[in-house]
Amino acid sequence: MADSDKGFDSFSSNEITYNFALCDGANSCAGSGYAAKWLSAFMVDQFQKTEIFDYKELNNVFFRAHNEVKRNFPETGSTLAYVSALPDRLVLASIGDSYLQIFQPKFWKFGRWNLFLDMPRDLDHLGNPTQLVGSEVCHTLNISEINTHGIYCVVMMSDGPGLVLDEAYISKRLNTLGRLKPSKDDLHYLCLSMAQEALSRGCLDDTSVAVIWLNYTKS
Amino acid sequence: MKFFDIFKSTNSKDPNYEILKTRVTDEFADSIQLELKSVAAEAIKLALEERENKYMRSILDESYFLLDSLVILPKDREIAKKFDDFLITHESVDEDFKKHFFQKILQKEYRSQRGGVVHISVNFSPTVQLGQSSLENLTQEEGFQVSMKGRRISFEAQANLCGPFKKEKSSKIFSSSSQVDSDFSNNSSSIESKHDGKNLISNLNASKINIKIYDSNGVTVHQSITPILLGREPSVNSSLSADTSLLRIDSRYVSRHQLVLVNIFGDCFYYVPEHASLTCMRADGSVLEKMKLYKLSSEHAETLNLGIDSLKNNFPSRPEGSSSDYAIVDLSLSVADPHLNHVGTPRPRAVP
Repeated sequence: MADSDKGFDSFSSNEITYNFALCDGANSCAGSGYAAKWLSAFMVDQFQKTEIFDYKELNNVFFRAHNEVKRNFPETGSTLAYVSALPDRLVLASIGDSYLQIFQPKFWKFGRWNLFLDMPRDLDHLGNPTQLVGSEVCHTLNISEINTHGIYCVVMMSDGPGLVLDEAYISKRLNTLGRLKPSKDDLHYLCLSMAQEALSRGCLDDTSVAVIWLNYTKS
Repeated sequence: MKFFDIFKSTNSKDPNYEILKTRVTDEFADSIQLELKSVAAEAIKLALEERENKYMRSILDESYFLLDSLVILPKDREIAKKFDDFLITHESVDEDFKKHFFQKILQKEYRSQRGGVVHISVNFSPTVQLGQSSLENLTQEEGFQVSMKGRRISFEAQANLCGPFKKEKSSKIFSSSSQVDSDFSNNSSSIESKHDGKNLISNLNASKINIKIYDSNGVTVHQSITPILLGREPSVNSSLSADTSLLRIDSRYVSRHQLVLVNIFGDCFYYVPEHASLTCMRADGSVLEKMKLYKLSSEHAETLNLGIDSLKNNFPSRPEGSSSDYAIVDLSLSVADPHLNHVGTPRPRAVP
């Protein structure tokens, strides 16, 4: 679920292939919102449901997307936070300064939700992104793969809310879910309340929060 | 008075005693009040039960719904006519009668067994809507059939909720007597605007305000961040947050706490606190009502004449005196410098 302003952020999901992407266009460039929208839709529709994950293929698709953005949306740039939920693993990819974090409850569902994995963010000493999709600098896609077991919450945020919502706060909010399976409305409420909290904490940037709840059980 | 005198006095036909008969409209109000309370509660409960099933109990515990709309439908022509007459008669005396009447009907909140809570915002007013059934007369048989247990059903209600919203800390600024300026209340398109007052205040963001004060000290210009309190002896009390900026006005006719500026969802509003004895006049001649929010326009400055006593004079005129007696305050939003407050993400460029 995502709560995004009509500005520069875009969230896309494919409920058949379980691919999710959040993109945050650089809001110093006018057309970045369109680039972000195109990129998120492109990324979630590229992969079919498969058990085999291929790094090379993901890289190829990503750089194809980068070249398309460069050609179709000149003088723009966008971040990418991408998740592919494969039957036995999670594939995560990121570029730019957006947040992509995985939370998991401790003690096999019975403990509190804790940060499990935080994807790297490409930042310079001023906190600005060092590489973006469609910009002059885009060389390395950060990729992680985790073997899955149990339940997970993938939290995707643009840099605005990510900077003001700390790990402890997100963990506390996810504890509301406990170990029960949430409905779409529950997740929507969670995203909305987190986005509103970010605004009340002084976030002035575009505000997008997406929470994906995943349950992996051994067959 | 002796014990038996009580019976004596009540039974006596002394011409000094007069039994006041209930007027027809009051009798009607009494008869429908209970039914309206009942149908409203039922409709809200039904809407709540439909909606709360979509959410986990833990989420219901930390959130609340807001009543978005409540439509009351009179069931037949006779009731519709009587109710319409009742509202028209009273509204001719009191313009806000409908609002006051329904404030007595509706509770502040409704709860379900599962833990769902519905809050009713201070300014909420239901809609009385005439349907097809409201125009039709009941036949003699129908008059008996509509009631299952002998009670005639006069009204039907339909409720719509919005939310859930996360519970926030309460604020004292929005008391039961507070009102919201029409510019603000009309903004119903956003999710935030559907919050009640308590949440609006908790979602404050700071605004930078340019304040020019003409008082006995001459002209002083300030640039402060909301919340701001202006007055003769401004001090932070329990109804204001600790980070409130305090600005002193040196003039004879000014209240100790004269004006408060707050930011609500990016817009700046100002109001006269409840305990201020004097109020202010705007440039268009309108006088500020206590505890009513007025939006500060981002396009033009607002000039306020201080020292208006609205209690003594129903139609106060603009004070004509020196600024040491009647201070003037100019309020304007500080225009953000896009170069200083850059929040845009820059596009990385290759280093040559």
